[in-house]
Amino acid sequence: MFIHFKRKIYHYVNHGFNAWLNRRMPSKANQRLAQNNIFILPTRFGVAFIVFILLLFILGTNYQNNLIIIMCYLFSSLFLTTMFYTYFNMAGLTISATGVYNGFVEETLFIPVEISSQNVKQSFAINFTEHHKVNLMSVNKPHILNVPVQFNTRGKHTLNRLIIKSEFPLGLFQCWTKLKFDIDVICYPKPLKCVDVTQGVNLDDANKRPNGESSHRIKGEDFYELKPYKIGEPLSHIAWKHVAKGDLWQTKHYSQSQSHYNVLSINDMPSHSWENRVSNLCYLVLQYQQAGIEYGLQIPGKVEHNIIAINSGENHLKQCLTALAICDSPQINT
Amino acid sequence: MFLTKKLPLNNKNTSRKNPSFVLSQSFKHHLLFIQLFNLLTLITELSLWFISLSVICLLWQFTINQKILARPTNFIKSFVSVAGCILLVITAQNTGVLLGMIHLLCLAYVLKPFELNQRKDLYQLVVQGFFILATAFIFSQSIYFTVVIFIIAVMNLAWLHSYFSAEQKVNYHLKMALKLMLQSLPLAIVLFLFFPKLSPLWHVPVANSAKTGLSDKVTIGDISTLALSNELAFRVEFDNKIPNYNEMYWRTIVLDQFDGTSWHRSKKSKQDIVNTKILSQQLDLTKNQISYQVIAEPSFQRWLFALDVARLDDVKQNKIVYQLKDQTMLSRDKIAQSLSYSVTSFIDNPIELFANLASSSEFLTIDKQSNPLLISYAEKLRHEFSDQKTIVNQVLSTFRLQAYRYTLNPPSLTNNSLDEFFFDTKAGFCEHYASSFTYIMRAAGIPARMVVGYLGGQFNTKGNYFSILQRDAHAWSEVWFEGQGWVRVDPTAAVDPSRVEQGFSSQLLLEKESLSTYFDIKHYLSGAWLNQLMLQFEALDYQWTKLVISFSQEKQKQLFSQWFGDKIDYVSVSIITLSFIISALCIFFAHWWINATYRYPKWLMYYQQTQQKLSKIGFEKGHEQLQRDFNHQISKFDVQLSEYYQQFILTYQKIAYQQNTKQQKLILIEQMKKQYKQINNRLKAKVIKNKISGQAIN
Repeated sequence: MFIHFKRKIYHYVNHGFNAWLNRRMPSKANQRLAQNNIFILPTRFGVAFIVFILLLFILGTNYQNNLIIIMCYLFSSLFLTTMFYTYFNMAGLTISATGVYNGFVEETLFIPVEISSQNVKQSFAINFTEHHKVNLMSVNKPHILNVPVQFNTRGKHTLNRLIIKSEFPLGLFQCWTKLKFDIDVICYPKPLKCVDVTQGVNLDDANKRPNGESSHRIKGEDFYELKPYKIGEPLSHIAWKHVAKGDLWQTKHYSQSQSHYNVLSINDMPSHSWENRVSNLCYLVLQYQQAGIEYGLQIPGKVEHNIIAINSGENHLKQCLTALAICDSPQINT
Repeated sequence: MFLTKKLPLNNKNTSRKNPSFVLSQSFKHHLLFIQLFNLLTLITELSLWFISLSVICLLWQFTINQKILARPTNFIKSFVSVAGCILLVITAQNTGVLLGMIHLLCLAYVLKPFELNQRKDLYQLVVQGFFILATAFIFSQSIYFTVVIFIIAVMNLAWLHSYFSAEQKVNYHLKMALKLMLQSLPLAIVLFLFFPKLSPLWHVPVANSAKTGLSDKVTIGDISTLALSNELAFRVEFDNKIPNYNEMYWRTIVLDQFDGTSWHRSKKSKQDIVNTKILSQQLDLTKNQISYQVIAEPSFQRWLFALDVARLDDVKQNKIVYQLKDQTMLSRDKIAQSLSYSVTSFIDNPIELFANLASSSEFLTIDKQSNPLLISYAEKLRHEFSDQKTIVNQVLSTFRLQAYRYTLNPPSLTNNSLDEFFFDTKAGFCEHYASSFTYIMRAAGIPARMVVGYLGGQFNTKGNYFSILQRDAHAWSEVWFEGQGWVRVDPTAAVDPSRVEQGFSSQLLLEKESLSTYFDIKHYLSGAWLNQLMLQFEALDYQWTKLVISFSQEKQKQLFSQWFGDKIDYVSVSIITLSFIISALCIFFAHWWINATYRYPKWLMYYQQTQQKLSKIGFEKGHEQLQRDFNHQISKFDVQLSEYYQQFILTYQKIAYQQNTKQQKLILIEQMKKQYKQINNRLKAKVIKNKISGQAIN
């Protein structure tokens, strides 16, 4: 009960804080650190240091020892001085990052962040997510730092705020900032190995065959029909003879590459759960891509059925994987 | 929102040893250096076993760093710490609580590097190191020691700094640490002056160091050993009038009991404490008075020093110093660090004039068996002369006329017999004379007592103060005359007048040198310049002691009333100054805040300043005046300057009116800065040249 309550409070505070952060430090591609976006507080060591200063004061007072008292004052003064040092070490740093990045679930992605400063700054820890810190020991010239991120769910993610921390020079104070950048990460589902149900062949076996054979599978199929050429269809499928005759551009279609045959549908996937099926699909897409086989995609979505026509190539792959990344489970809505 | 926390996979090892916490080899080596230096500051206080344990631990750590030895297992670690603790408990019984605690602190500090697994451990080490440096101040507070501690503190900081910085060079870290310290110093000084000084919050164990100086039991031969010591006993700064050398009898202890071999101080009760107000009423304040400030060096005893008849200047000093009816002064606590107090002495006043000597038998008791010859001698005198003063003079003239000799190296006496000294050897140091004189007086029925203290002092011309060394220790007698109180009689003056007039004679100094066994650098280095240098250093140390070490609550109050007048009380001054500091900080913050948001463009500043400077030497550009005409005007004054100026204006116009990219603008501003400096230099050179040649500008 209490834990639940605590969590609720935490949630509430966190939410409020984030809202405040969004108002105060909105998203920008290029940000300069100054007093409006730097936070500073004593570290635990800093607090312990204050206790130490108090102890010194008591020691000095009890022994009526002026030198110990001076030492106590010197350290208190030092405490303040380091506060300024910590702050000025961070102020003036310029950070820029933007773009859309993609990768698979549980894969470590590196987001390039450009950091520059006019004078030498030292000792920063930079991270987007808690467990992926990068240490930057010194900044002078503009410098591109690859900050790792990792996601455990597929989909389109907006990155957390970039956290930069520094305890320079003595670890008494910690300066930090949380910067928002316009960075999107499209996280593809994790490929899950499966049997290609459409062909009844394990694609791994198909891959093991020599290249010639696998391509033969397409070329050697029975010719099925001619269809008007659509932009994006492979040139090799164009019926050049017809073109030469002056007819319309047409493409040859083979019995095996019938749309229903190479269009991978989520409903055909062997797994039971939706997520696993998406993962299966992702696996097949990758396998097809690797094998050089054309493919299409059919994913029933929340609002509309997402169908991607048969095609091949890097862009096509990206399109398919993105579709897989962002597709919704229809069951959630029902 | 769900909080997912990663649970540590392994139980103990992962939590205790943080794999990401890796320290470089050189960092660990530097730690050993730092530890060594920190411990060295306490070396005189640490016991021998602990020093050897530390050396072993540091070497051990070194071999581990060098990967010669593996890290010790938990068993060995706990064995060493338990052994250390046992030794600690054993030594603490002899050394006292304070040193016991310090040993404990140092033990933890020495063993800590074996457990350096997390950042927290590193911080602990740093704080412990600083604490050790602070405790070192309990034992020594000289200016040189303070400088050493400061340097070591900077080294500690540099070491901590190197953990947070990528820079490899040691010098860089030292420089940064020094910079941090020096920048923190001004505020520390302000705090020291203005932050209210508190009285001790509770009683603390005092350092149990060896007592130095005079003791309250004097056996013949004691003081002559003290006379070999060049150690500082106390320092005195006279306000205006400086008494003669032979008037500077620094009373320290009055010894009024004799047991046949040595003199003792009788037990004192609360009634023996002088009330300063009553004393003031008894004194004739119109007579010769001398004011001075005494700064006593730590002696780990309670005796203080004053000239007769002394009165504390400020009653408030009674908190730390009190006075007994026998005119001696004592500190309330053992003097473990420099103690300063100010006193006025009314040197012509009688001592204890109103004392009721009904119990005067106390000052007549002697042990009759110990020196029968002296007793019969005294009986003879008593019969011969009825007047007490004649008896005194008779004894003194005996000392003066017969072959008595003043020496630091007297022949030894069997059973400390005064008879033997007085009738046979006739050679002795001040306490021989004082002791036998007092004995004779008592035997002759005159109340008498022995006083030990110091005589004279060395004047430091650089610092305008007297230093009184242990070798100035002296003993003299006091006899009671009805209506005159206690009268000082110094039998040494009869034997060796020069001792009383100007200190040790050259003969005695030679004797002293031959008797000194310890190494004294002054023997090997001599020369006027060196003496001067030593005086300078001593004067510096005196100022340090006077201004810093003995800066007390009273002195702080005095300072405030000097600066702010008497009306403002002490607490409010502190509050005002503290709030002043805080508001200064706030203003600084605000200023920097505003500055950060709005910055006056530099290039505009350059332009305006140049115009101002030109107008100072008479070139003011009117609104209607064309730039070209203005240039022409300047070129009449100096061609070179006008050329520079022309370029400067060109750049200015480019920045102000031209569309520039950011990069371009930066370059232009940089260029403008250069030109601005060129003009400045040219102007300065020109003005100086004109001043020299006496030409009127414009």
